Amino acid sequence: MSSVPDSQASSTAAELIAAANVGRRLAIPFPTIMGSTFMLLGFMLYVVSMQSYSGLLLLVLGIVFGVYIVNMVEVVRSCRSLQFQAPASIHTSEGKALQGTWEIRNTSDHLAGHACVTSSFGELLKVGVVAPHSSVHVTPNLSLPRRGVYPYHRLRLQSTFPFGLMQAATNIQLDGEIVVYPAVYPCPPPPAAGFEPMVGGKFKGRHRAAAGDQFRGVRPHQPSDPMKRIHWPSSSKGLGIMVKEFDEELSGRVGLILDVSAGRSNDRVSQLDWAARATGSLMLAALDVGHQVEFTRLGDEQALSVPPFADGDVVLEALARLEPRRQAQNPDSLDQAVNLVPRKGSVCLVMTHYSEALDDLIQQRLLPGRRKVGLYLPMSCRGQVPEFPFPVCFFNDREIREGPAA
Amino acid sequence: MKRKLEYLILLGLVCAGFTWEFNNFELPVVPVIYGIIGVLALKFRRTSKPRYWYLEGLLLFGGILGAYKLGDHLGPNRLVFISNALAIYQIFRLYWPMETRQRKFALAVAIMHLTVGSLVIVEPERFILVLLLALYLIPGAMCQIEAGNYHPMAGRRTIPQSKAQIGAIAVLMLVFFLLFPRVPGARNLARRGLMQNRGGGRQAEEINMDNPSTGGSDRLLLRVRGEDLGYLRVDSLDTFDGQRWTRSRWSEQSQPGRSLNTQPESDMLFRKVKVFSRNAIGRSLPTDYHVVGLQAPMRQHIYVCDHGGVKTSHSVPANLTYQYWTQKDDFYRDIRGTRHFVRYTDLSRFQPSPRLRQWLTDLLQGETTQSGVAQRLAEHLRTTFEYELGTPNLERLNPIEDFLFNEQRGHCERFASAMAVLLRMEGIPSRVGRGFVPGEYNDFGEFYNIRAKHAHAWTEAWLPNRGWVIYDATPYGVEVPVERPGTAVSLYEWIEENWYSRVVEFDYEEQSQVMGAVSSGANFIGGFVMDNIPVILVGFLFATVILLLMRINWLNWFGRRRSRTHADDVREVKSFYGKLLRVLEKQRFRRPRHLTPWEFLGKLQHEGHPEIDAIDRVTQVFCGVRYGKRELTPQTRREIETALNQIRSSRARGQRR
Repeated sequence: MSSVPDSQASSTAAELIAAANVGRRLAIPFPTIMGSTFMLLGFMLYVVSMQSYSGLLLLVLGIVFGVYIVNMVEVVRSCRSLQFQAPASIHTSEGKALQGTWEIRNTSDHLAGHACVTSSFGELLKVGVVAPHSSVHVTPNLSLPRRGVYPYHRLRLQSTFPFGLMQAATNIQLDGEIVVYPAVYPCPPPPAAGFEPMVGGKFKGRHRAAAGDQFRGVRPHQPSDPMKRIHWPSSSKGLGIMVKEFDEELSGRVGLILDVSAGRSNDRVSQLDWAARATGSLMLAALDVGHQVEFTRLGDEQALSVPPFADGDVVLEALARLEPRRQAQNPDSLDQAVNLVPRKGSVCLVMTHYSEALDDLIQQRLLPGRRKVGLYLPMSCRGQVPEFPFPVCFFNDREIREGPAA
Repeated sequence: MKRKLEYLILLGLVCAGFTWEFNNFELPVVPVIYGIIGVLALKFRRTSKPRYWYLEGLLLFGGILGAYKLGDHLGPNRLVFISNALAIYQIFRLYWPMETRQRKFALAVAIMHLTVGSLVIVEPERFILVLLLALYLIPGAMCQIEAGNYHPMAGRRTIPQSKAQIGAIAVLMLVFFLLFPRVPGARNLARRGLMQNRGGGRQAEEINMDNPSTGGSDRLLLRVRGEDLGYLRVDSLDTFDGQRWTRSRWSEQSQPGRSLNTQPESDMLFRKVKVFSRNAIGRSLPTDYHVVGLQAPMRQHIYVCDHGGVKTSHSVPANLTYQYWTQKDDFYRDIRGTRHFVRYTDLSRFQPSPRLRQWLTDLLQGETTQSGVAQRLAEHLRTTFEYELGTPNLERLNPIEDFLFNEQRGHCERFASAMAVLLRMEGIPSRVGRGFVPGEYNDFGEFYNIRAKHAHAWTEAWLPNRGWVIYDATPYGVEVPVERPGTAVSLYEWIEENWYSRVVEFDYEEQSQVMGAVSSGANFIGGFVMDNIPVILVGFLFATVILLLMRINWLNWFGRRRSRTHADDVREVKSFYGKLLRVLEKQRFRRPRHLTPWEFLGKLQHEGHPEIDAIDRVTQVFCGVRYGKRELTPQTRREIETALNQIRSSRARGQRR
C-alpha cells in the first residue's frame, strides 16, 4: 500500500521558523458556560439570602465572587503572556493527524495556560499550565478531512486560566499553513509506455542482454555466444552446453493528465477531490513500480516530472493546492496537455467527466497515433463512455476499479 | 492536597448535616454521620464506573420525593430536605469516579450545601472554620476541574495553590460582603424560619406550686442591648385551680386597638434583642415595661397579648434579632368587661382556710388602698420568707397554705403564686407574670446576657387608674444582683456580640452606615487634600527625594533581612547548570533531553571534554543542591563560577551533528 511518507507529513527542520505573534488584540473576559451557570446559582442563592436572617451566606458567595474576579484578571494575563511558535508549514494527508510540534512560551512571571487555540477549521491544540518563563511543546490534535491549504494566519487563543469560570479570547496572527495532501489508496499502476533501460526499473524488456541486473535463466549454446556466458553448473549435467541469459531492467513513462474542471455532477467539488485522490494514488503506484511520471493539469503550461521511486511530494502538493476551474476540459487544453507529456510515454487521463472534446482527443489523436492510453473517470460516468480498445477505469473516493465502459 | 473537590464535597456534606437541627443535641449528630459516610465513601472509593447507575438514580429520586413529602412533617423546611437529598448524590460522587460534567455538578451542589449551611452555622468559631476551608477548597476544586480538560502532557496538570490568589479572593470576599447591595427590608420577606420548631424546650406551660425548682443552667438565651432593663415578660398565667397556675385561652389574645407601629420618641427606651434559643421563648418576643413599638425581620403576625407581652403567630425563626421601644411609665388599660374582671379575681376552685383569712386580715390591717395592700403583701413575703432553690415539695392539696405557714421558703414561682392568690383574696385582679430578669451585664459590649438561670416569675396586680403593676414578692426580686463577668469572658462575649450584630446580621441599614462612614471619610480626606494642596505637594516631593536617595540602602537592607530558603538555592543552582549547558552547547556538546546530568557527564567524559573536572564539579553541586537538599554556600558558589569560567575559556569543540 502506498501512503504519504513520514517525511512528507511532517515539517522539515528548516521550515520550523519561529513565527511571531503579531496583531494581538486586547482580550476581553466574559463568563464561560460554567461561569454563567454559577452566576445563575449565585443569584438564586442571593435571593435565598434575602429571606435569611443570616448574612453569612454572602461571605460564601463572596468567595465565588472573588474567584470570578481573580479568574478575570488571570485570563487576560494568560492571553497576553502566552507566545506561540509554529512551524512555517505542516504537511499531512486527508484524515491523518497533524505532525509537528508548536512551542508555547509563557513570557510572564506568573503561571499561565488553560488555553485553547482554535482556527476556522477546528481546534488546533490545548495547553495545560505553563510555568513562568518556560515553554512547552504541543502537537496539534487535529485531522483535516479535505485536501487543501489551511493557513493559520488568523488563530484564536482562548484561555480560562485557572478556574474556568471566565474566559478571554484574542486573535493571534502567525505565518504558516497546513498543507493537506489528498488521501491515497492502493491501486494498480497505470499503463506505461516508452520503456527504457533505467537503473531501478522493474520491467523486463524483450531484448535479452548479455549483462544486466537480473538473471533470467539459461538456454542452449549457440555459435555466436561468447565463452564467458557459459553456465557451467547446468552444462555439467550432460544436456549440452548452456549459456546464461540476463534481462534488461526497464522503466516506463506515464503521463498523468488531470482534469481540474468542476465537473458536471451535482457534487462537483467531491468529484475533483476524488480525481485528486485517484491521481495521487496512480502516481504513487507508478512510482512504486519504477515508472517515471509526468504530471500536468488541464490548462497548465508545463508538466511536473517525478523520477521513479521518488516521494512524489511535488505532485501531491500540487494536488493539495488544486483549485477547480470552469470548463477546463476543452479541445485546446486537452491538446496542450497531451503535448506536454512525452510522446513515448502513455497518456493517463484522469477526468472529472466525459465530454465530446475528450472523445475527439482519444478517437482522432491518441488512438490513431498508437499511444498507450489509460482513461480514469468518476463512477458517475459509467454508461456514458463508448467502447475503447483499452480498459477504462472508474474511481470514487476510495478506490479505482476497472470496469466495462458501457 | 490533590483531591480538593472531594474534600469540598465532604465539607458540604457536613454543612448539610447541620441543617438537621433536631434541637437539644449538644453534639452535631447528623453532621458527624454525614462526615463519616463521606469519609468511608472516599476511603473505599471505586476505580471503575458504576454498574448499577439506576440504583443511584432511584435513591436520589426517593430522597428528593421523601424530602418533598416529609419535609414539612418532620420539622425542617422542605428546601433543606432537598439539600439533604442531594447529599445522597454527593456521597455517590465520592464513591464512584466522576466525569467532568459530574464534577461540575458536584461542585455546584457542594457550594449550595455550604451556603445552606451558612444559614444555620452562625457560631463564630464554627463558621470561620468552614469559611477558611471553603476559601481554600473552592478555588482549588475549580482549578482541579478545569485542569482536567487539558492534556497532562501539554504543560503541568496540577496548579499549585497560590497564596496571593487566596489572599486576593479573601479580600474580594470581604469587599463583596460589605458592598453587595442589600435590599431594604428584605428580611421581612422571610416567611418562615428555616428550622421550624414545634417542640417546646421553653418554660413549662403551668406553674405547679408544690414542685421544687432546681434553677436554670448557664445556657445563653437572649442578649439585650439597652439601658435600665426591666423584667422581660414572656407570658402570664391567669387561672388558679387551687394547686396550679395555668393560662386561660384569653390570656394570649391580642389586645384590641393596640398596635406596635408607634414611632420611637426621645422619652422611650430602646432595646435590641438577639435570640439565641428559640426554645426558651416559643412564640413570644420578650419585652420589658410597656412596649409601644417593635420591629422584627419576620413575616409572622406580631401582636400584643392580653397580658401585655408580645406574641407571634408562629414560632420565631432562628437567629432572630428584633428591636422595640418601651415606656417605663404606668400604662393604664381597663379590664375589658366583667368576664375578664372575674377571670383575674377568680378563686372559685380555691377554698382558703379561716386561718389564712385571719392571717391576711391581720397582715393588711390599716391598709385601705389596693396599692397599699399589694405593697404590704410583697414586702411581707420578701422580708419574712426565704428564697431557696430545691426546697422539698409542698403539700399537694393545699400548697399555698403549706408555703405560707409551714415551709416559708422556696423559689420565685411560689412567691409569685402565693401573692397573686392573696391579692385575689382581697378582690384585686392579679396574675402571675413569667419571663426573665436582667441578671448579667457585659461592660465591654454594654449589653445584658439573659441565661436560663435568669428565668423569673412575679406578680402583676391591676389597680384602678394605674393598670397592671408589677409586684415582686421574691426576696431578691426588688434588687436583682447583676453579675459582671470577668474581663476575658466579657471580651469573648463582646466579640461574639459583634459577630452576630455586625457580621451575621449585616443588613441594609448596617451597610448604609458603613457606606456613609466611608463616604464621609472620603469627603474628609478629599477636603483636607484640597485645602492643603501646596503643603502636600511639597511634602510629596520631599519624601520622593528622600526615598530616591535612600533607595539602594533600603533595598540592600531588605535583601539582607530576607532569610534565604532552600528554594532560593535550587533556583540559583539551576541557573548555574543552565549556564553550563549553554556554554557546552556553544561548544557543540548538546545534552539530549533523555540524559540525566550524570549520564550527560559520562557522555562528555567519553567524548573527552578537556574540562571534564570542572563540569564534574558543577554537576555534583547541582545534583547535591537540587536533589540532595544541600546548602549552597558562598564558597561553593565561587567554585562554580570559577569552574564555569574555566569551561567557557576552553577551546573544546564537539562533533558537528
